[in-house]
Amino acid sequence: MIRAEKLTFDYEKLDETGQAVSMKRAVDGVDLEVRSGEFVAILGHNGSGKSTLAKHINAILLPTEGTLWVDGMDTKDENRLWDIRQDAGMVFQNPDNQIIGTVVEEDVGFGPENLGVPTDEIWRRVEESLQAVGMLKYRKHSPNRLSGGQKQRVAIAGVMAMHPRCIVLDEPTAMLDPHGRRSVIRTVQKLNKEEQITVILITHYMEEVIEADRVFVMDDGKVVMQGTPKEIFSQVDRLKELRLDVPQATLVAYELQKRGFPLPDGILSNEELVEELCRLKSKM
Amino acid sequence: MSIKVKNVNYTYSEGTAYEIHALKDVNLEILDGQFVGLIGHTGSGKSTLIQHLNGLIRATEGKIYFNGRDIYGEKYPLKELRSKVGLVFQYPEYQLFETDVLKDVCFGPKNLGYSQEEAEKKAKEALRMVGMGEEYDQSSPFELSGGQKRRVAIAGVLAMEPEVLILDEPTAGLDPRGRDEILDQISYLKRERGITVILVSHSMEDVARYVDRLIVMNQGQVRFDGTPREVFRHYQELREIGLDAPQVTYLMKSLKEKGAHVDVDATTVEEAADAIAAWLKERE
Amino acid sequence: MIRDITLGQYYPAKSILHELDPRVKLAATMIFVISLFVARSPVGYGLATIFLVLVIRMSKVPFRFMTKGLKSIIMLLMITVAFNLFLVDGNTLWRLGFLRITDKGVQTAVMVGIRLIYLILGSSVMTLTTTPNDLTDGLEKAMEPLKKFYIPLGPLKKFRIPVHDMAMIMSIALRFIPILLEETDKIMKAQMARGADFESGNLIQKAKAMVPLLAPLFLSAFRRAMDLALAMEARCYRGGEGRTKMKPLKYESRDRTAYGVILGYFLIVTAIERGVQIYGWIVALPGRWMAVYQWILSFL
Repeated sequence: MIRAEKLTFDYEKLDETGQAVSMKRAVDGVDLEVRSGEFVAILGHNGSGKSTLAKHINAILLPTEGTLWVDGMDTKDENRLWDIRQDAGMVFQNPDNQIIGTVVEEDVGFGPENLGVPTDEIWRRVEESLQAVGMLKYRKHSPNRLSGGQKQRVAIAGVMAMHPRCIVLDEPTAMLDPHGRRSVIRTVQKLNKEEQITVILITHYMEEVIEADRVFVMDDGKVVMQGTPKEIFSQVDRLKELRLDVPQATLVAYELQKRGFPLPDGILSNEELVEELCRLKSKM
Repeated sequence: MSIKVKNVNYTYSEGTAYEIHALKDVNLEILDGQFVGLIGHTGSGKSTLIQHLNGLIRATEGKIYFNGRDIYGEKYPLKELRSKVGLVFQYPEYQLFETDVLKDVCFGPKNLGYSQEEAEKKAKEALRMVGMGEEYDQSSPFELSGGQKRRVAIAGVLAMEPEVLILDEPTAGLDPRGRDEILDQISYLKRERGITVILVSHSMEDVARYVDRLIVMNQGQVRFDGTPREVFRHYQELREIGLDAPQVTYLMKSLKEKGAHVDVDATTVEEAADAIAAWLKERE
Repeated sequence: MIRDITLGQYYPAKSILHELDPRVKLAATMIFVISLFVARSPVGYGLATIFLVLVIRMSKVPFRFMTKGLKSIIMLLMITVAFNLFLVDGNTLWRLGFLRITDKGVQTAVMVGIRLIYLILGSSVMTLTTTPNDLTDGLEKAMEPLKKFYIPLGPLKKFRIPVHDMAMIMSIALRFIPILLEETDKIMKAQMARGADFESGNLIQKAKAMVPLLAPLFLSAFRRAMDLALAMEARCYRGGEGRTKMKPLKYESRDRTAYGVILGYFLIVTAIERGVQIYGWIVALPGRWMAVYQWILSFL
């Protein structure tokens, strides 16, 4: 579905006359493959290059070096630009700055309008997408009166209405409260499972990646860890070094391991930990 | 020396279609030197409440006393109140406007009538307090990282030498590293200056480690008020109003349900690990 | 204070006015505005008042919402009224030094005041009952004939009037007005928390005090604009060409009725104002017919 090979991107810093004065390598030789239908999370700090990487998938940025293919289309191929953007939809961080319509349903219709979809079909798609994100009853509302989480779900519906095969979400929850955060993640998970949409979720919240199929951890423009959530979170020391969050259940297990209790690696949830602890206790 | 909130009610846009009863009969007393966490999700009234404390919003009904004086009394110096009760808004980096960091932090003290020299002295002191070294004094605030901008903005309020410092979601939008750094800095500040700090947040997990008192708001009312341990005992009610106690609280509770003999009051990972270790070592 | 500007603030409600085609509302607003200038007599103004009140009632928007729009023009209103009050010649009613008020002055001042207030109220009805998108759709459609015209700029370049782009710009501006107003409010409060004072002082001090407000506001507006441009591109926006419409404009029977009503109103106002002339013309008719008759007769 998506494949990157030695993807590198440099930001140029320009002075007042437009001359490049310095370069900053934001993405540094990233190889990555995402299969169709997968839920992939990219975890990393601000400035780790994860958002820059995300913008390549939608061909908003083009690689300085290396290549990125979306569904076999090279993002550098200008003739396929709109196909790529339709195929790989993008949801951004700030909910206010990506809603164009003044009524929810009009905003969801914006993408299909741009694609030249016939009017009847637009209405069908708008209804479907709003239904899929659970916002149908707000279709006549003004976006300004919605909560942050609701706005993000409208933005997701706006992308869904373009019938993409893949959605890239660039820190969609960074500006939301826990409640909104959960509703957005749940929506994305549902789309992944029920509509088989490939999801690439960029985030710095670890609790959002626990249910992903695979996790990539980025630091300083490079992919420094990759694997299943279990594999990633069993390396508590490495994560602490990167100063990323670890689930509290994992941390408690880690603390107990340090005190000599034989607990397995990669415990992610309370349920698992409780089970392991009871087993351990019965053996003692 | 305290802030006393008595029977405060506040209604937004009274008499229009958008009327909201944001605060309902709020009563609180915040004593000198306390470190308070004010928790609630978006729309719970917490942001409205703190804007009352420094007189930016006037209560529709009720009284507020600062150091024993009614702030709605005639000739009460509201401008002075705003310097005594320093309020740092959410996303404070968006308020920076001066050409360099030092000038921006001077804005507050200069508004209070201090001379350039005194203002600079206070500004420098405040900047060091938030961990911004001298090397940044002359840099443009717009070239700093997200976390640094936020420190500068906090210094901007701190430079007025407030007795009470209120921070509205100081960690919003920051990554885990930035969040930990800011919270550590605030807690250091609290110790060094001995001022009263009110930390507004929607994340229990973040603030529980730092504060000695938690106030939980829901739908414009104070729901719980006490030490973190006391408040987290109501983990079920907390979940009902869409707020979660720290994950370990639920862990300890599940263990207890399975018949484990553990202290359910643990609120941090270390406490939980201690409690579980003690239980595991226990001889039947 | 700042939130009180109503212009561009859609008020959701279910009314006939909300459902009308935006082109009808645009045309009706224009006709209403013209009628305000046609009306000169108390009867004419009375009629305009009745029409306005009926329309406001029909819109189901609380009246308080409408008058909020007036607050923003109160200065302009007072200056205009004062100018007319003091500067129009006529029979002096009252005099103080070089200031004098004449009967004609009072008359024009009242007339101009009412005109201005009705103008704002009338256009508020339109903006309150029409979503900005509908409004720009209406404008775009109404301006469509303009698309055919172009200014040749050399042999290969033509400047066409960018009707679609203009409409898009307007609709986005309207969507972001409330957001930016709220932001202004936030920044203002944040700077007040740092001791800023936006109210006292003379004009220069006040202007200076605006810098801490305007600098962050502009920066934020630019940031939003960049974000929005990215988001639009990501959703395949590439100008008006090849675009379909989710809500293509189509006249319904209620729109035709509305056209009828507004035209009827306009004719009545015009008729009343021109009443005397028309009356005179009708009275003169038999004489004219006589002349024509005689003229025809002269050929026979």
